[in-house]
Amino acid sequence: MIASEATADKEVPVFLPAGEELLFGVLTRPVAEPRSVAAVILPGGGFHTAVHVNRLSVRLARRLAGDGYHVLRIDYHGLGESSGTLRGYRLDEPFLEDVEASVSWLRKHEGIRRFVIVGGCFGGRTALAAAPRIVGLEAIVVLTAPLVDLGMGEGSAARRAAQGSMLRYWARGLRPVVLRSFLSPRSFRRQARVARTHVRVGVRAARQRITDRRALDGRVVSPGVVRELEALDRHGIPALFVYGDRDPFREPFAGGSEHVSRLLKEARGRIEVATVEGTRAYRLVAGQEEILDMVPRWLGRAREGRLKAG
Amino acid sequence: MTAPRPMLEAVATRADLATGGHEEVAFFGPSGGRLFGCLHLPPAEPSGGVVICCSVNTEFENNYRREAMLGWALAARGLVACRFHYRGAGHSDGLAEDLSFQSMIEDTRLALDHLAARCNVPSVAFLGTRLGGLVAASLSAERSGAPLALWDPVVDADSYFREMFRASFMARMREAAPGERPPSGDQLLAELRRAGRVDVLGQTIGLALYRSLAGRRLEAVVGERPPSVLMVQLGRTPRPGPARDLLERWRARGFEVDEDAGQESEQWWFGDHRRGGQAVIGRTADWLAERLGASP
Repeated sequence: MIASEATADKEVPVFLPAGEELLFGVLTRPVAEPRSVAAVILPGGGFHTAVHVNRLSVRLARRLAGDGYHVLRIDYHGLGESSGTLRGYRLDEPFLEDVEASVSWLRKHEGIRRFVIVGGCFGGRTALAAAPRIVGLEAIVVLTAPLVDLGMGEGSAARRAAQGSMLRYWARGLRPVVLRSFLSPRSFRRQARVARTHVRVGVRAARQRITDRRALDGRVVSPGVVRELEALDRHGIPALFVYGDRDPFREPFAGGSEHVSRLLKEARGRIEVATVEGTRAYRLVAGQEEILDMVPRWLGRAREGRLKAG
Repeated sequence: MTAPRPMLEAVATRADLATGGHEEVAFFGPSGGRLFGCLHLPPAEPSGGVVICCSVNTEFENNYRREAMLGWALAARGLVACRFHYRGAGHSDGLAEDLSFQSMIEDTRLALDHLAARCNVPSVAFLGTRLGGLVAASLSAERSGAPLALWDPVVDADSYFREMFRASFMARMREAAPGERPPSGDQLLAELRRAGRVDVLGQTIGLALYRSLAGRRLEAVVGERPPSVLMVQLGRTPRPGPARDLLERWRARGFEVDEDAGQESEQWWFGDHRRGGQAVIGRTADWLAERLGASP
């Protein structure tokens, strides 16, 4: 049980070097007996700063500091107070440099040698990709991250492409109601943008189905992610994946992927999947509250080796 | 024996090598109610100051980078810009359910004190984005004659909340299971009154905010003698609506009002600097610099 959370009294703003850029972060120092472990909190994709939706990262940082962790929450390059320009997000192009710079800074300035990473969506995929590269990493938490590779704004198109046949996918786009929307000058530009996204995703999904039967799973989990999960297991890094109870991106963990099912079995409890209320893990305030309770508890069990074997 | 690690300063600083200015980021204010703030400082003594009043919830995130870039642009024009997070929002202390119009105004006054403690500025202007427009207008009215820049301001708070509840309903309808009906606007309001807070699009909206904004209109907040006003409407085409109607009423009464509409993407997008996405930032900064006697 966490006695008290940190406040801004225990926080320090920092700029830390990451390649040619300066990342902004807020360091929260522990209010409880320090564990000498630092948590790095990575925001999701989109416009999210180190604050994140409904201040989730701020509240989680202060909650973890109440449990003895040093916590660093960062703005990615090109966002928030950080320098640089952000061109966009792709789930298969995580911001490894930003994570490594954060860990490096914590080592140098706070003398921390052990770490956990908590990432939401794109941040979760970044945590997953970075995990084998972080010396001293003890656990990761991945919130509502798609395991299929997507670009910004492709989520709903990818979900439709994963459901049912390609014929049905394309037929949806050719319905009269969709075609009529192109006739309106006001909505034409927006509809064209949406159409381009759907075409891009549809072509990619169709190509995957034809060229690589193994990547039929690519509808729900990309081969690159499978390799990252295997690396997690090889390095013995515990991982918690949290999804909303109606999140379609949970499908790989709910029997939708042979690879993931096999990995879960082999990981013998080190990879755990939890659900919270909502379509995405932090879509609802109630789900966010569950995350704030769950993450410190799970980290404690994971780091103490008390995760149950599967 | 290892060398002692250097103490972290309470102020984080980042330089703008192109202009010689710099940004100072710090927590300020009383313990337990500390505010997060950023000062964008020019290389020389500033000729004026601008306090930037952000919006809250999703709008806070959507406009964040644009406001940060504006801060840099103002510093490049010889002004000092102060951006900050209200208590109960962003990195500041406090709970979302305690956020209110009054607390937002109090925090803006604190931010202004923070700016004044750091720099001696002869005059100050205010910029407000969305709900922050009402806050900026209130502070401008307290300092008669303080120029006021508004980015897509909330003109009518009651309409703002109706639109918010409607957006929540539509979003939840798209995600609802078959047969499931999400709470309507009236149901959300009833829940807000009963529980003191409600979940709207994953954001906590407190009863304090709702009650404190009930009936507030930008026109009334600005008062009978509006200062010099810049009204920016974000979006690719000028939209008719309450903001334009207000603009026309002010003009009809002979007030000094400038307009910037239909030339900018409504939503900040990545790499926008390549598509001219900084244009509204530059034009706003020029307008403020001119009103505060700096060189645009």
